[in-house]
Amino acid sequence: MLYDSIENIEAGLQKFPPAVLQEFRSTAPAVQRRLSSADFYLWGKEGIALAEHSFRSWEATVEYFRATLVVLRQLDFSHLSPWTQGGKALAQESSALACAFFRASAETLHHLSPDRLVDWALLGRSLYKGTWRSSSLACRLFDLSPQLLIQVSLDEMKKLSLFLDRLANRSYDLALEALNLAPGVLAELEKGDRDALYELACLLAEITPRDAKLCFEVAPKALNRICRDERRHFLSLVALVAQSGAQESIPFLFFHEGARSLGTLDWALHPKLLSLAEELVVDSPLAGLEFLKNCPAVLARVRSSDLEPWLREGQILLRDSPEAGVDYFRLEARRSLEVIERLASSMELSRVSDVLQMYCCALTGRSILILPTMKLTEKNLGWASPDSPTTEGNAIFLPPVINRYPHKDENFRWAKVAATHQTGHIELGTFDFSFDRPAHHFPDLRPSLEPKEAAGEKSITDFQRFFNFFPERKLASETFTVVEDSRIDHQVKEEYKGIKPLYEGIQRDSLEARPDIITLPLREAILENLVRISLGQTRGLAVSNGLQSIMKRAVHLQAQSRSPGATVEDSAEATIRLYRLLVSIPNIVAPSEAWQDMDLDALLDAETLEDMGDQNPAEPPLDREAHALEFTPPQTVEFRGELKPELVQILSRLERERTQISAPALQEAMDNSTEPQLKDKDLERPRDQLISNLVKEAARRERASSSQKRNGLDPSQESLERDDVLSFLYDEWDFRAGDFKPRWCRVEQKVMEEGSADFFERTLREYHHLAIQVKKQFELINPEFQRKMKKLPDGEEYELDAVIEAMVDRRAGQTPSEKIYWRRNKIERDVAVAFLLDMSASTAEAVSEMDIYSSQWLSRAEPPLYHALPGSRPIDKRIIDVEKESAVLFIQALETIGDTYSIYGFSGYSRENVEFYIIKDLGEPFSEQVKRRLDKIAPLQATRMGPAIRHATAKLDVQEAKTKILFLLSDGRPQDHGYSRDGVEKDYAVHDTRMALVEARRKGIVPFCLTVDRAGHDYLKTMCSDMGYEIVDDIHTLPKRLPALYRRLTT
Amino acid sequence: MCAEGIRTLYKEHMIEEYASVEEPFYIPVHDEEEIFTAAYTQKIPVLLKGPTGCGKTRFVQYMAWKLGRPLTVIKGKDKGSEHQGLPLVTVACHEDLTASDLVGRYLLEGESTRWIDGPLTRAVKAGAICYLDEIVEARKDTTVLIHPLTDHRRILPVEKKGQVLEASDGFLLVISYNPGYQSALKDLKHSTRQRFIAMEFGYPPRDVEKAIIQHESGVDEATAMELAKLGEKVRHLKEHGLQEGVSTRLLIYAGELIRQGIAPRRACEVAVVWALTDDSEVQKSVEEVVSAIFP
Repeated sequence: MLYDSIENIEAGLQKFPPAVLQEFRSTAPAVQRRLSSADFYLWGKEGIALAEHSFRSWEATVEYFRATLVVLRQLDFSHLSPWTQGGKALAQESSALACAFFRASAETLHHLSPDRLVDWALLGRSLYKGTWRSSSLACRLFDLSPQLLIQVSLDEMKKLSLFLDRLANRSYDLALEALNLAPGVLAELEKGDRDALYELACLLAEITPRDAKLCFEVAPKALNRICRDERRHFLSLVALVAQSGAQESIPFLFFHEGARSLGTLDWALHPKLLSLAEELVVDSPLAGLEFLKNCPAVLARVRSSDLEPWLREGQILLRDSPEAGVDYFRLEARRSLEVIERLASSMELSRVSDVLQMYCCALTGRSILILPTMKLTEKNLGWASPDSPTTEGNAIFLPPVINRYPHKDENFRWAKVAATHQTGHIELGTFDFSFDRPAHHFPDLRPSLEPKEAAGEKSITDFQRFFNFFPERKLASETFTVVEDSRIDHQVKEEYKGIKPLYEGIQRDSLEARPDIITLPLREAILENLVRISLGQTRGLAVSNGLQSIMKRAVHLQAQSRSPGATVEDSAEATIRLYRLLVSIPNIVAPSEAWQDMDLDALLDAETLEDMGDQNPAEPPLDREAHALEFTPPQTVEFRGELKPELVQILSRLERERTQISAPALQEAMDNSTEPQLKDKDLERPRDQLISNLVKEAARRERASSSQKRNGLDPSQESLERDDVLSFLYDEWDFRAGDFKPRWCRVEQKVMEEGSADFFERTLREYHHLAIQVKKQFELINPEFQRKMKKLPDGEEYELDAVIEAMVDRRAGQTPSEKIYWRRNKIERDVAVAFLLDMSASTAEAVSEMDIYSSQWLSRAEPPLYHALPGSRPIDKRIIDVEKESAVLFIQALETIGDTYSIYGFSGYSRENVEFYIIKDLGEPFSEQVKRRLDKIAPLQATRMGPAIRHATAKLDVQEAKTKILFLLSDGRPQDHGYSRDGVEKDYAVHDTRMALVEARRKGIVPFCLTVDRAGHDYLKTMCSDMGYEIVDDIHTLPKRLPALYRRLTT
Repeated sequence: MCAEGIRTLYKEHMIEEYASVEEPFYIPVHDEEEIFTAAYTQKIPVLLKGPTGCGKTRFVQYMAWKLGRPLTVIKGKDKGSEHQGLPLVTVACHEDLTASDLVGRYLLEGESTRWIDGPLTRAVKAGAICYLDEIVEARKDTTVLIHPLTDHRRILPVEKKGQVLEASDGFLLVISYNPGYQSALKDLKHSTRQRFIAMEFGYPPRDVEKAIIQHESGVDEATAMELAKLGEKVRHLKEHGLQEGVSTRLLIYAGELIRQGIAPRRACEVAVVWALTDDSEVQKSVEEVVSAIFP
């Protein structure tokens, strides 16, 4: 059929669904206008041919018609034909593909030259594998092409599609996801990074497709964190990780977490870190990952040059045992922390806070806490700087890690000087400022400044009242800080001659960090000079021309406020005078040639001061027109930190008389004050928040101090003691690493709830034969502890040997010894025993189930006692019940001989939560409560023995008994959730328990394990190889066996 | 005591005769002198409380000298009298101190026996001040022994001889007790405690302590001041890691070492830091205080 007229074409299109004809009709007129008629008919013909191709290809025709008009705006007909052919070729494969191709064409052509259209079509075609999933991927590629081609060239898109192709081989879903992410991902990456990323992605796609997709997803975030030149290196490391057969998700974690932690570090370190990581990856990808992850934490402690020694140490371990090595880099090995501590130059405050605390306490005579600065800033009371030492009157806050000097000792010295400065404020009375107290070295200006009618009213604190004088409050309070800090430094150095050299050393170091004076505006320059003088600078003080006389007066005021015996009131008076000097000059920047260097001696020269008279100095020849800058406080001297006297006074006033301060007064005080700095800038009503925080803090302090008076308790312990739950952290032994995991398990110590005392009485009734028997046996123990003591000055009888000796001495004319008697001496039995009861879920197992074996084979000869007793059904008994009964008889026996003993139960779930129940503590008298607590012993969760043993050991260790025994009663091997990560839980648990027992023995405690697990021989041999253990084959004999064993152990 | 040509290198005194000739150095801090004098005149036994090394014993010595009177008056000479202190009998109590250790016992002499008075008996006879140091250390039965001496009776029963001794006029019983060691086992019974007036002693204030250290050890005033300052600062640590604050005695030792040419920091280390505590953490803290004060 010839398509040489519109009618013909329309007729040809009639056989397809009406949408086709409709589309033709709507576009045809416009197309006709742009094409010659031959071309136009050809166009129509192509459309029909396309639609005829397959059942659904008419859809492609619709898209074809629709796109033509737009495409024609960019293409002439010569290009239209290849485009059409490309589409047709696609339609051969799949009409959907063709559809997508035509649909995306118009947009794509904005970013693609027409002669590459065919390549583009082929690119999409290459993803099509004849399945509907592949077709949807290819379609999506066409759909996204316009967006992608904005970012990348068609050649680069080929690389992308290669990656998608590989990924699709493994999972179409992942490929589709990756494709959808691609425009966003590629937009944020640089060309070089993208190429490297395609390579890695292709590689990963074949090994671990999920990681490939995830890596691709986070690539922009990750790569942009890494030093530009090292990105390729980093990606090659990820590839290495993947190729070395790491588990799934490790490559991704390496990529993601590694980049994240690298991002927190200086880019200059990246090359070094990556090559170190590479060495590790070769041995163990996981170790490399952990190394990168923990780098920031390690580098916070050690210098970057010391990182390598730390790594080498771990590497040796890693080659020995991979698990140990990984733990090392995970910072979960004691060894690792020890090496860091050895290498560390920085000083952790927590390690020295006790020493410093006592030091400050000694200096001030008040119990002052040393706390890290976060403790203060997180309360949001107006202190916000985490690096500055400061005080709020009761505690001194220092940075948690001090890393200013290359040596630990030097860092400690810095901390000591900083703490001394803060104690100086407390000891030398900065916060005791009283408005009305006269100064020592100045005539008092304060009373004359205050308007009569306003005397003392409205102000909450004396500082507030004082600072209210000054229109430029900030200037005044900063001036005060400079003067007061200088007074404190001076007086501290005078009072403590020994710390003076240290102090001056730190002061000198601080001088180096001071800003250049001549860059500062005039007012600030004068204050800066004062700061420098207070830090010990005597030469090269820069003074602006014309301000020499003002500077001299300022220096004199400062010197006066540092004279012996000066108080905070002197500082205040000096502040008034300095403030007047400062406001008399504009805060402008002077040209650099207008400065001259002066020495302190010249400034302090008294004669020249006299000449100037005490009147206001002559107007300095300054350019009054210059723009005055806003006053910026002098840069903080780091060791002095922040001084906020107003806040401190407000806090202590609130603490003393909270109720008398009205909310508006407080509000006003806070609004006026320049001191508070808020952590959260975006709080809606920061002032209100601050005020409520202050009030809360004051209330807390009041409570703390009153409870301190009542109980003599340290207020810092307050939070620990709530709810009767105490937490303790213990190390755990990792046998593969051959090292302890530091602070690994948390033991929660609780006092057992109380039930009814019936259980105790019932058990005694039930076992009363046995009870009597046991009691008798124990009563027999006592005489065994009588011993004959010889050579005593007095006693029952002469000791024959000694008497003979004495007689011989007398004959010989020497003084005979008086010690000629002997006596039976009662040696006091001095035994402390901790009885540790397994309360794991497995103890819920009924004893009768075990009877199947035991009663037949073992207990036949000696039937369990309760069989003979009425009212007790063996079926009801669980292992735990027998354990409880044993405990009852045990207590009965122990009470007879009066040993110190305790009964503990333990259970728990995971290392975070080892529960340790006190039924009777050491030293606690046996009481009704104990009986009731016994009743509540019940099966709970898992058996993590190690921490429980360690906790009991710690309790026994502080006992002053000659013989200490740890008696462990369990029903099976130790086991708990997450004992170890990799399938060796059983061994791990056994080894840890063993180590815990060995630790106990090292502390002079005799451990003894008793188990009712008949399969116990295998692991008990490992666990208690050279310690006492026993397996009770028949659980029913436990109540009888336990006291007997104990007796044997202690006599 | 000196035979011709032979010189003894030691001095022996009879208990009753041992009394200070020179005035012991003591600076009264408060009204303790007045009170003690009044108690002595009224024959009221005195209990001295206070931490170790704060000057309790020195105070008793000083008072004994102060309350003393001329013992030998040589007629016809107007030179006046040589001042002689009251005799002072000091007994350090320990846990094995028996009643016969205080009162006296029979000794064998050839075939016969001889009675020998114990220090307390001799003090009672001589009218001396009897100072029982650290009385809580003595056994309970020993402390009961002093009861009849401390009330209106002022008698000492000597059981073994079947006698009762009346105390001479000058006799006064003074006991000391350090409440710092408070433990359930070592506390003074109320029946004992309530026979004495109690005088509380503390460490002297900085200035006084400075003068004491300066006098006793012979260091210069500045060093004495620093030592006194150290004392004050370290005492702040009591109940914060230290059981007891540093005693004046130790500070004097430190001063004496310094005077012998030992570097001040080192002297304080051996005389104060290590003497005070075995706890390394506390040692470190005290060392920091020392190094803050002494250059």
